[in-house]
Amino acid sequence: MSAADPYAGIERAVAFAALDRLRAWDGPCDRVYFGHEFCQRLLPSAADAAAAARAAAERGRAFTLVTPLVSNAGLARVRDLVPAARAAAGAAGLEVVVNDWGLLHWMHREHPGVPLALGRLLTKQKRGPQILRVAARLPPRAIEHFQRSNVDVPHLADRLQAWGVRRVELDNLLQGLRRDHGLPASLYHPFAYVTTTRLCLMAGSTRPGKNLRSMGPCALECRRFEAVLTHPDMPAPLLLKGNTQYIRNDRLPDDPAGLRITRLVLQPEPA
Amino acid sequence: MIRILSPVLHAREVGPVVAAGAAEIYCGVLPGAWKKAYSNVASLNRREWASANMASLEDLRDVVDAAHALRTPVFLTLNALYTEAQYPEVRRVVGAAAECGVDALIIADLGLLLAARDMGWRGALHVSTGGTTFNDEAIAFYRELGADRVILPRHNRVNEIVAMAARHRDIELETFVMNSGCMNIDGFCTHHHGVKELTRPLGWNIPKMLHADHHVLRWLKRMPAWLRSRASRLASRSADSSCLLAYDVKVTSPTATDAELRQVRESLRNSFGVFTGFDTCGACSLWDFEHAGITSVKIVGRNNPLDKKVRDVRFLRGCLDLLADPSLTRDRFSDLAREAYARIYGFPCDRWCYFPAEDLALAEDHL
Repeated sequence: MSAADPYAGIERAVAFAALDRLRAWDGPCDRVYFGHEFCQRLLPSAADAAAAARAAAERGRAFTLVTPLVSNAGLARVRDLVPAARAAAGAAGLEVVVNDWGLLHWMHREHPGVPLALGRLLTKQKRGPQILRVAARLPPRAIEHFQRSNVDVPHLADRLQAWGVRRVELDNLLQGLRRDHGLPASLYHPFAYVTTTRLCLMAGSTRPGKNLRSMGPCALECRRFEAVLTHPDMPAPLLLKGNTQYIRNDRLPDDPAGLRITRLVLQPEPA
Repeated sequence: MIRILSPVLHAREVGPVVAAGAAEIYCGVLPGAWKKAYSNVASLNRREWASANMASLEDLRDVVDAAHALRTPVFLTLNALYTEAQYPEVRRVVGAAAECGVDALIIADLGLLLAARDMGWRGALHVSTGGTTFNDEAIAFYRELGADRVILPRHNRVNEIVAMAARHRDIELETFVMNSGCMNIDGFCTHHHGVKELTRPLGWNIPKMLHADHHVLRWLKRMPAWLRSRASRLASRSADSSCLLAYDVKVTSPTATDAELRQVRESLRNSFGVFTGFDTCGACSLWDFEHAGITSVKIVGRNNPLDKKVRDVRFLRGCLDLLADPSLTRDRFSDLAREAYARIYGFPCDRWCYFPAEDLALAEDHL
């Protein structure tokens, strides 16, 4: 990094959904993200979470456990994961990304000392590429609105902090970002999530007659297949990985400090 | 007995839907000043089309007056996500809603939920589907923040809903039951909607006013499945929502055979089209919801024509009346609900379900 790099000195994290990918990573990073934001079926086992935390600690990296939206069944699994990851993370400590208000509620009650990061599902940003089609027709206040997140509203940011949230996880929007205040932010790149579902389109797609309205059966097709969706009305291709659509944005903001971005989260691949 | 929550778009719709059996109604407003400042795309609520919103707070007052004359409560959708600069205008709308006598606000944004009481709101607070409530802890979270009702997102399964209802008797729970079965989780979807209303205002609004989409869907419902998929993709040329566009799909995999790639591609192609997200029905699950103590079931479709709204309410009312017989089994109720559907709508439901029966058998690991 050159001295003029606005991202010099910013904490670098790399996100992994599987232990083998984490172990194979030999690039630089200060922190490891491990887990899944969008699907509780892809939550790691407690043993894998502990192994990931230990692997991070052995290389001198901080550790963040990433959790998805959860049903009660998923919540029960996270209840086992957190203590295991916390014990394995050691002195460096554990941070947890929460993407579910219920999970935040439970973490604040049961693990009040663990710093939380408010995940991308809860930091509301409009990420869809269609903004590029209408940007020229939108009033300036609408553009500015779409560059911001509701989590930066001061009274909400204050309350989040009281609940143990120490940072917010943000996507790198095609329309640009705007922040004047709010909690410190992590910025994900190069993939921004756009939408997600429990009616996973990939699950069961290898067999004819899939019921689009059903949640099953899942044979983890997402670990084998990816898709790119294109349409003349969609200004950027959508990347479909499992139950989630992403866009790719390689251009980072020029002024991370002004946006209160203190961490960059690299996703080598969509989760 | 479960209440039926019906959408309305005008005061003149209140009487017919209440007469058909609606016990509660909801509506949305997109005031001119808001639209001028932010456009329909950054709507005041989660419907970004003029055809789904009243244009003024005076219209809202008319709806409230008409509903209260029939002793029916009115809920106002304020379920968008708001940034700081929007708060003064949101506060004004909340004040106007209170002054009109609106009974509850439907809210998705945690910031607004926290601020509503400070804005002087004394009515009920309903957490929108945008509040993304999928577990007991989330219900407890919202109850502690003062919510009177939580609307459970479509993507909860029946057995999950029933289990949550059993543990939360101290708060009202509402579920979806008819129309607009968004494939994506509403509160986590960040696609823009209402784009075509900006880019092609006449080409979009005139068919909408004529309810062309509703008529297209009725025809799609009558088609055999093999033809419906093709027709659905063809019709999606006029779609606004990103989830309904007929995408070209390219599938990759380092390990799959050509046959597998073709199958996955075909499956994904069939997943996108105007039919995939519309006109779902969860009436068969009313048996479960009634026994679980669910407070209310929501019909989606503020911009549906009045005859569709009335038909939806009448259909559900008839289904709920069946439940007066305590000996009715779930299977028998489902059969009767499907018969009623075919009789009232003129075509079979085709099991285009909000809550497919096959999901009841899924192991917890699959939910």
